[in-house]
Amino acid sequence: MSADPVLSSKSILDRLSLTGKNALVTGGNKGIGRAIAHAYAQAGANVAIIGRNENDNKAVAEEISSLYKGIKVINLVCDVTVEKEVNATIDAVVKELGSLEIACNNAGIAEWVDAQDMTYSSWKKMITNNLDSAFLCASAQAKYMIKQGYGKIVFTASLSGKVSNYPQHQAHYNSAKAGVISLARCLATEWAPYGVRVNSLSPGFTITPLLDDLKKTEIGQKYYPEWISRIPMKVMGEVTDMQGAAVYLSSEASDYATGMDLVIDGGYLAW
Amino acid sequence: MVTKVDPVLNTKSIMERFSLKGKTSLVTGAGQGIGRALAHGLADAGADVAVIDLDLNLAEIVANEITTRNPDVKVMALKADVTNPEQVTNMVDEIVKNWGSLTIACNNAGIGQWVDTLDMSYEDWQRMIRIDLDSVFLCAQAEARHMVKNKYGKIINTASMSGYIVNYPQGQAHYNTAKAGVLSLTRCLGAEWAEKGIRVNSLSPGYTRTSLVADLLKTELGQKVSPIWLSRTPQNKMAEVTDLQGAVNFMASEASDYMTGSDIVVDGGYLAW
Repeated sequence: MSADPVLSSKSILDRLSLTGKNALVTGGNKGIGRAIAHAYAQAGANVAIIGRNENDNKAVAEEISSLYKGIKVINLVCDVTVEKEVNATIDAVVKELGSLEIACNNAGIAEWVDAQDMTYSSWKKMITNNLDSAFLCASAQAKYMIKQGYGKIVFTASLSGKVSNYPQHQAHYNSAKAGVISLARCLATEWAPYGVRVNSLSPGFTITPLLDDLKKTEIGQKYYPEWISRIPMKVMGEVTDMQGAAVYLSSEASDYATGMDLVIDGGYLAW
Repeated sequence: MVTKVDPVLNTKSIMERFSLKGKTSLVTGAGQGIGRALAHGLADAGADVAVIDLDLNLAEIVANEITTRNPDVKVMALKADVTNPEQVTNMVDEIVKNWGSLTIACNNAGIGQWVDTLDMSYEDWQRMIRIDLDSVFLCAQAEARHMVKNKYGKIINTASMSGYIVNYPQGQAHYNTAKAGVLSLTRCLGAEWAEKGIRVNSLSPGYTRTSLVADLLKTELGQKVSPIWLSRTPQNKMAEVTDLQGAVNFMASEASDYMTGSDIVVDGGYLAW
């Protein structure tokens, strides 16, 4: 007879801890990515900050190493749309940290443009940055994770992968994010036999420095009340509201969850 | 101009936000299976737990187990039939009377039954809807009537992947429909109570090795269906009840305060195929 898992399992708080694990966050130098990098460090993981801007990477890495003791923090410059750079960066992370258990593929861009005015290069840029990058990063990471028989991949998707935002038009962004949710499902089933778990996190409207700037513009003033009126909680999320979901999806506590999407949106999708 | 405080540098550590220390909770159907595991998980994180079951004896056994594993939390065992409005109200009143508050409620009690729809009696149907769906409405309403006073509360309903898909090969149209109802009710209440500080979310487990299921797997029928279930689960195994604790602890904690009307699926990838 097998042991009762309830009485023989570690405390759930120990299973939510990331102590001793090695993690990376792409787009880790600002906004949601920076918040997730902080949370990983708070939960005890060593963290690699990956971003395009070296100064921003360094600033966040320094912030984290000064705040949380006993963990290792590294930072690497990488354009996640360039296959060679992605492969080299993942190799470098594994070399410096020794292994890779957790990867948060979060880097992305945004743009508002009506579809009839959208250039093909604008479409391609969006798909490359928000969807192709997720594929490139995950496949490079999985090569290591499959070998070690364990890994946790978390994609930053969006509620825009499930609905069409209003009033701004962003068909390319929404399509890319829907693609990310689908990619997580596909990779989860492909890699389930190897112990690699793939899930996505879908934030709703989130207060980032980018949004703060936007709110100062005329169009931001106009759209802001529209957005709030469609959120049951009547507030936007803070980047810190996304940390718990990211840590849960990266921890042992979610090892039976794969191919799913965790929505943190103040109730937006419910309406 | 007022500079906005950076939340990343001014929010408690995520591990502190996962803690449930000092919070009061209840779990219905906690005498066994998933509910028992959820009650233990909440206690692991420091919450006081009311173990609710139709069978008081089972509830008391689990309450004692929790005290042994987590001696610092308060525990009570209560008997309640969650399909009875009066007993549900009394259950919440009893907890609030003893502990002064109720912050976390896991509405988990439910039953399963396999029966083909052509053979399903109306009594079968009604019993299922009453126990698996009506009970969630009754419990959530009674809990929220208290939580609304504190402008804070976390309600977590146990739904199921069966609320999204039709299980195979067993027939259970009433169960699947009831669980789809729980998903919808969760969305409705999440939106309705969003401005009152009450968060309502659900958990959708896949096939889970509860003791009831473990017994079933030893029967001839269990031997027949189990390979079919596994072949449709990408992870090729069933969940242990402990695999569900993390999602519920997260939804019970401050770390999920911006989440409402949402569902966490923990199914080994079943829905992805």
